[in-house]
Amino acid sequence: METPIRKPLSARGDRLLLSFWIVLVASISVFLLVSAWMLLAPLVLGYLLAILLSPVAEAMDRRRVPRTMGAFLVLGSLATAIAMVVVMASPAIFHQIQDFRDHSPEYLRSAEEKLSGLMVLLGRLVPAQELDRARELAVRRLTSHGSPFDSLHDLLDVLPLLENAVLTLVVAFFLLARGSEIRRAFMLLVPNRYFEMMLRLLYRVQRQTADYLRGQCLDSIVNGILIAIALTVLRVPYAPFLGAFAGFANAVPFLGPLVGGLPAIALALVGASATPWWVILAVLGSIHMLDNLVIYPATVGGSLRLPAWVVILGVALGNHLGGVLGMLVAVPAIGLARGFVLELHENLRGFRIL
Amino acid sequence: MLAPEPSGEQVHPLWTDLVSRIRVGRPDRMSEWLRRVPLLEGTHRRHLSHLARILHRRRYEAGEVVFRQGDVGSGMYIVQTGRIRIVAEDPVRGEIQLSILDAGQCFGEMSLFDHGPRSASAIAHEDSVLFGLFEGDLDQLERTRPQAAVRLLHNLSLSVSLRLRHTNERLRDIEEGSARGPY
Repeated sequence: METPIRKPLSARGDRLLLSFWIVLVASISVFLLVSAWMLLAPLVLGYLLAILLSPVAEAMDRRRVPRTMGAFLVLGSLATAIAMVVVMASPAIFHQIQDFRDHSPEYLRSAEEKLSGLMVLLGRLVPAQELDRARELAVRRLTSHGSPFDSLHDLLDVLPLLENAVLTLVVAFFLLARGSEIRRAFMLLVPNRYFEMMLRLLYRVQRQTADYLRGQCLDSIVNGILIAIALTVLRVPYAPFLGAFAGFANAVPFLGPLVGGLPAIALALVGASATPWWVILAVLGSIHMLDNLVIYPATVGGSLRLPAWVVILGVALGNHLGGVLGMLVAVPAIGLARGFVLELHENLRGFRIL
Repeated sequence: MLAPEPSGEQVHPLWTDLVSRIRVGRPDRMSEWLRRVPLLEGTHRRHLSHLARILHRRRYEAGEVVFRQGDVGSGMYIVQTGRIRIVAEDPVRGEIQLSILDAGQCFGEMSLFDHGPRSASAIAHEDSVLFGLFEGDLDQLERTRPQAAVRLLHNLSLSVSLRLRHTNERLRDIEEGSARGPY
């Protein structure tokens, strides 16, 4: 019988030190995010947007378009495209929402019939009064008509989001137009001893972020389009919305594809679609397989390898900090923090500081 | 040996770029100087001014270490002013001086390609100013000015092959027992 090979003490020490670094950086990041989320959000989102759009600005730079003009054109085109989509698609969106609200009591009744066994069980566990109240609340939420903003207060709640959106665009503009100079100027503040290490670290982390972000966006878009087409062919109502939702949800590993497919299956279960739920499940499963085997490796590759428990914890923390946006941003942020720590550790060892 | 670039206003670019918007005109003067660097021979003037915006300008005091042998490397340096001593650190014989580089000469270019450990140490022999070009800068140059990047890589490969040829000749000399003194 072979004796198990014991890892040398230094290798175990390295792993211990690395774990310590990861915990330290993660704790500092979480603390900063919790305490200054509203301040950091536009900066982080602006940085991510600039990274995402930099290939377009660089392509313009290659064609001798000045960087400032290029940044203006890129962000202006993006803002115009979003505005056009919102303006042109909003009648269809409101029609679909209205349609869903009109049919929602019917869906709810159907769901109650299908889940009667479960309701009996729930009736034993939860007081009948509470169950009725929950049902009334669900019906009211699903069937409420009129403006999406019930009051001026609701409208004012949206203003910080708009402020953040504008700030995000401003940050992205400066980074696209003068990112190289800003980075170079900040590097002048770094002492000679650490200059090369810092430069290498920043470049590698930025490259990793850019690769992941662009790949993930492409993967989500392809997934969303495939699911929307498949659901349209299967005659599932609200297919474009369900495709868009599945595309967004796809950004969260493990949980995303599961959550993204649930609304379509739920609609089939309550009788909104003529196609049986198991056919929809099989088609969505096939698309997920195609994504796992072909699309994801081609677009994102293996840049973010996180254990499932980290993903679940990250999504929960993201939800607590920033709602749906926080959930979408959490997992990439954790992956990038991990990449940063690994790169930092490698650099500190490479430059013999550790 | 190239003449040093005339010194410009000493304003930190962080403030010149973001706040006062004062143009010190340094990139133009830099590109004029870069035109005379052998490594950048044949590079278009327009590309040189772009390169001048990419390069990192660093000052080193006499005796200050630019990089140490064995450190992870990610780029190369061009000497603008001053002199740089290249030394190999031998555990038995101590420091062996390989060469002293003057203005216009470059060093550390192998790490630009392989990102591997530095094969020798570089120490400022006197107060010096260096231009640094690193993997991220080369990557950016490839994306925004591919022609300039091709020219630079061509010149770099010429420089590396010349050094390799020289090393082969020295090795042959040593093997034949007729080494011509220190490198």
